[in-house]
Amino acid sequence: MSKKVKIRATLKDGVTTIKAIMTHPMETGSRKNKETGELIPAHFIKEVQVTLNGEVVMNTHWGTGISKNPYLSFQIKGGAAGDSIVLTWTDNLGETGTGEATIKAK
Amino acid sequence: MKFTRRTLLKYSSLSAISAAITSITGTVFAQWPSAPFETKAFDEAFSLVTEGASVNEGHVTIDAPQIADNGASVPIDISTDLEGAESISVFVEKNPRPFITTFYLNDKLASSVSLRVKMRETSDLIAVVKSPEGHYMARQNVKVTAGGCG
Repeated sequence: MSKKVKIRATLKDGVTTIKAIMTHPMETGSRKNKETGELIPAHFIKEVQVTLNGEVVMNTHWGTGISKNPYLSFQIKGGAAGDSIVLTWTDNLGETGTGEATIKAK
Repeated sequence: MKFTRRTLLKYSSLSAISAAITSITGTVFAQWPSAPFETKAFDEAFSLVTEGASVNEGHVTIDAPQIADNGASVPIDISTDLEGAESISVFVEKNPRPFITTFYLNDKLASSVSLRVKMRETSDLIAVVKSPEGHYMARQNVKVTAGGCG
């Protein structure tokens, strides 16, 4: 099941700024369940990929040091109003999430 | 079958391979670099990620709060003025696992990223950029009043 990503893309002066928030616990695997004392298993996003009209423009590898419900912002040169930006993430358990935005000119 | 540690390792690497295959959505991804992500030693993580290259200071800017009151989510911006920069890697020196991330850049991606990282305690943030001109880094201390690794 793909979980939603909130994502926005705005174009200004030839640069498209993309801002995204992903819903994910980003568990490090070192936290203990306070009631049972058991370790909560690691569950974190490992890879994030972003495409512009289907072409990859950004990818990144993450470890457990990224905060819960990850926020990410970056800029790409170019892009045009109406272009499609898609962000996809994959975590260490093989789950994925995706979100899409249409570039809006400012 | 005898369920030994070796069996467990064999099966976990098989599932890692199948996870890598299913995550390739049409584009070749560099493989998730498990060694630097898993090491607890900053020096080892740093030298694995930079592949032992010599790293100079400069050309990289870290924008981060001087004092973070919530170590679970510290906002940082990293940028570089190096032309043709290939990647930006981030470390939190005193975290239990110091290597945080690498962003793989390309000619479309402007050379700055913003993200939020976990910091367990007051520590230096280190950002390293790989470029055709070599590896460059910046280091910035962030004071953490409430640690963020849970």
